[in-house]
Amino acid sequence: MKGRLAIFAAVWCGMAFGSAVAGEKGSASGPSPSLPDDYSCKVCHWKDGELWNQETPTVSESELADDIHWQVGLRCHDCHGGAPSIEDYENHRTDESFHAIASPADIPGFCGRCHSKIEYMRRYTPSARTDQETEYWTSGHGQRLKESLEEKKVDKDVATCVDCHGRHGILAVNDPRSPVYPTHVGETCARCHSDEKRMAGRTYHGRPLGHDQYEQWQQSVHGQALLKKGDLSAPTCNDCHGNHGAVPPGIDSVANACGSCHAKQAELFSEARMKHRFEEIGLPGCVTCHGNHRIVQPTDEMLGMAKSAVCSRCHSPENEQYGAPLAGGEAAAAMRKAMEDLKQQIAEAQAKLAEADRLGMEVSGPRYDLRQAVDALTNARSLIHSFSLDRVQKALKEGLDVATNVNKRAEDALREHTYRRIWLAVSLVPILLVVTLLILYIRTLPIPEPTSPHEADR
Amino acid sequence: MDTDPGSSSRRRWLLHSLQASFAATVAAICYPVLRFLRPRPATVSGAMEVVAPFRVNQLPNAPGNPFNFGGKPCLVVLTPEGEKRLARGERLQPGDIRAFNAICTHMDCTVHYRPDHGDIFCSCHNGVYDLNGHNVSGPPPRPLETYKVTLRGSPGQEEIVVSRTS
Repeated sequence: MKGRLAIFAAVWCGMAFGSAVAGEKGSASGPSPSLPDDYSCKVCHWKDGELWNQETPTVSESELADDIHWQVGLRCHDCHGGAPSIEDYENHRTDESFHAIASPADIPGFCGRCHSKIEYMRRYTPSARTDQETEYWTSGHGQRLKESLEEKKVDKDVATCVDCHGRHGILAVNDPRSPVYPTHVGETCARCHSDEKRMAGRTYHGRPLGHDQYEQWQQSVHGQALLKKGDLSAPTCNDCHGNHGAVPPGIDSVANACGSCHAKQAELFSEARMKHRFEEIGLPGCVTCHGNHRIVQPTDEMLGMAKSAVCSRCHSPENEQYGAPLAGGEAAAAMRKAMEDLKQQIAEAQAKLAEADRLGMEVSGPRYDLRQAVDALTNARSLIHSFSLDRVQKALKEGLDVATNVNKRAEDALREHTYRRIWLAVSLVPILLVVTLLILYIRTLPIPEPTSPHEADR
Repeated sequence: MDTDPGSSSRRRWLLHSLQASFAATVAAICYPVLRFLRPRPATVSGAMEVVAPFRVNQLPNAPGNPFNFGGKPCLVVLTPEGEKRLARGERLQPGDIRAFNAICTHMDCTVHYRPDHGDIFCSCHNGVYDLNGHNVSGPPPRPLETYKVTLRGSPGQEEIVVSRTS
């Protein structure tokens, strides 16, 4: 909290003095040069300023150099208010144009003074959003802050704009160094949410918030994709929870959060009877089977009634929960069996094609056709989210027919190879026979009589 | 001179056998030579260029589209502009017909053209590409690989030649 207290102190002590309302004077024409010599803030808040002392919070131009506001030409007084010129200086406590920050609850409004004003923001970014402050007050953070305000005891641990974006030196959100750049969002949230002490006793809708979300997310397929593979499209905290309006998705909306990327699965699930049953008994959609922060790569082992299968958690006779019918377990087992049958056919076909290929047989045609079976398998894996045995089996059957056909053609190719070898051996028989018969025939020929004593001697 | 009748008969038998074996040897040599000279049709072309198994006037829902191009499915798309031109009997312009490697960049499923949506669609995970092959919606991380298209023949009946060198 030291950092936050420092900024409060900085503001209270009077960091900037100045002129008009922020936003009215900011220049959209690009960075302006260094602060003029008579700039009022420098007197106290520039290190070695005329009235600077060891206890006065400072800020330097080098700290501000990368700040997105500084870069577009905004200066201290544009945000903090007060008079920019020393000649017009008034004490912060009496200067009504100075924008004081008395508590964290003032920060959203402080930033929102510009960021909620579309006419102003349009000067810098034509497509700028201006609903961040409104969203913030609907977020878990904003709601807690509002509650604490009503309790007359401001919760200073609640995150506001500066906790994620920084104070001075705020980087553009698309700057890879920014704490809100996709690769850094997780660790930015974790600064508070992985702090066991800070999270102790905090709840959302009666449920403890916990403090291991970031650790779990790092191990998830999403975390691995973003952190290890650098895939910026992989979701991080704000993609599911929202950013300025961050809240845990509700039971009835979690499928929509996942569905923003996994559209087909969400669509299938939304039409499934299972969705309504989940809602009736208060189970969240996707999370019930896949988990939330530590979502691992789904495998076929998740389907069916084996111990590793998620279906068996509710549908087995040993562990019947939520009134889940055993018929659902049978359907899951049937889906899994059909899937394994197709996988086996594909594996066999692939092995035979590889062998035929190795033996020099031309099998690129069947290999191409086998793609349809693999497509059907992938499609069936999506269709599982419809929880419809008929739809899954139909897709798998199409794949199975193709795989069986390819298997047969691969066998034909192998048989053809065997046939060629046999006939190669057979074709050698007449050649050997010719040689043998020729020798025997030559032996039967009469030896000619010597025609002269000289030839007889030889 | 050998006058033994047994020896003469054996020689005759040997001679006939020799003739038969020689004929079999000739057949054993000639058969593979003939098969070599007249091979079976290839199931897939390894060439850098291939002619699509349908013509322009069969698009957009030509049978056999996507087709096998070097072991990968190749999708040929007739753009809506091209379709209008074709309906008016005008000559097609470059870009009216486009060809793509029809393997989805997400999970390798085969994509298809949806004339009613004017996009290229992967039904495995609802991935959508525009008619330039750019991934525009859903999980595909990259655009589709594009191929060069050349048309040849009389207008409206052109053959579609797809080439890897785009």
